[in-house]
Amino acid sequence: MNVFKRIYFWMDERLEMNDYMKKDILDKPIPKGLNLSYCFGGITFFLFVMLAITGYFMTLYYVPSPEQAYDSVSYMTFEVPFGYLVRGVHYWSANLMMVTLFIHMLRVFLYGAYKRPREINWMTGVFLLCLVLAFGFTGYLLPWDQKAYWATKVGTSLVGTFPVVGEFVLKLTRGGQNLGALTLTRFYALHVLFLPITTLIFLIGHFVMIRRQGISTPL
Amino acid sequence: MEKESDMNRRKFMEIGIYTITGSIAAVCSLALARFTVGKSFEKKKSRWIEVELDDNAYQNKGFDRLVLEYEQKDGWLTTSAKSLAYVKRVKADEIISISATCTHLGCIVTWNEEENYFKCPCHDGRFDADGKVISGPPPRPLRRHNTRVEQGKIYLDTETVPYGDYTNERV
Repeated sequence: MNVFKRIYFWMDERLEMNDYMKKDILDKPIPKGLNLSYCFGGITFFLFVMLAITGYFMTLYYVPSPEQAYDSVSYMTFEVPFGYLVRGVHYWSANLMMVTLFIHMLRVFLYGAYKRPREINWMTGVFLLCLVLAFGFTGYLLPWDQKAYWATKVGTSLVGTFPVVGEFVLKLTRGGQNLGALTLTRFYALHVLFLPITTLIFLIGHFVMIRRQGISTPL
Repeated sequence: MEKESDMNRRKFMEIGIYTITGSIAAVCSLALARFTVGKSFEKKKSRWIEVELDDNAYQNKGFDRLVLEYEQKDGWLTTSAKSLAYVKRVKADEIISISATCTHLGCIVTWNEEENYFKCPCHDGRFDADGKVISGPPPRPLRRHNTRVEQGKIYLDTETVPYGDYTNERV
């Protein structure tokens, strides 16, 4: 018996995780009759993990200030080795995530998998969709190039046209009347701290529920 | 152990999947590691700036005290930097430029004209007119800039030679 196995058994004797991991996570049998469309939730989660990892690493170089944001992004992309790759994976994962998320949601909807008793899971899913959209909206501004600036200008102005509360929400999202440094820092904070933690909490709920309630099989 | 369970289809698939995903993860980690290292270990390129030496002024003092001002790259930023050098002309086309940055902890040394030595104000490190350590904590002689004289114009390389290169050099 090699040393890793001995460490493993030593830990398992105390934590008793082996049974649980085998039975409920790794070797959990899936019901009969599933097809490839059932993979898209998992693919979306995989893309989320990719985004998280590449995101952590990009914070090594990114500076959320109007003077430095663009230059730091450009430096990270073109001068740091593999920078184009790390940022490229983040970019494409984010784009693909919308597609896979949509397919996942469409599948759940068409198969009626959201129905009783899985309504709460559907609701957390819809909330997760909102979080992903917020991720996209806040992340889009961060490179601080022309496209980012004007897209956010338009996006926040749209909110401003809403009756009664529009002006209030507009100022709140921009951190003032104008789009500027305050907008960039709050979008950055949302993008790298507030949203990821909220998403993680709801993802855990999403996964615990699907394990407890089981996958809804097609009729 | 049963003979059958040593390698069956399930076991084979398991090992295969772990090997493939493990290799992909390993390669990705290498790329991320390189990304993290970035340009931390990149050598500084030499940067030559032209300086003007007042030959008359330093004759009596031993050194002309020059403030070197130049732009430097700091990641994605270009910042202005200042450093101090003690410069003198040895021959018509040979210039010595001693960096005023103490080799102990980086304070700025001053030239003591009367007693002919450089003195560091922080821990009383002393160097002679060649930059060699006389006394105190500095581990190495003062660094020198590479210098060049072309058509009467004097150029200094503001990126001084790393400490290590100076230990065997004639000073």
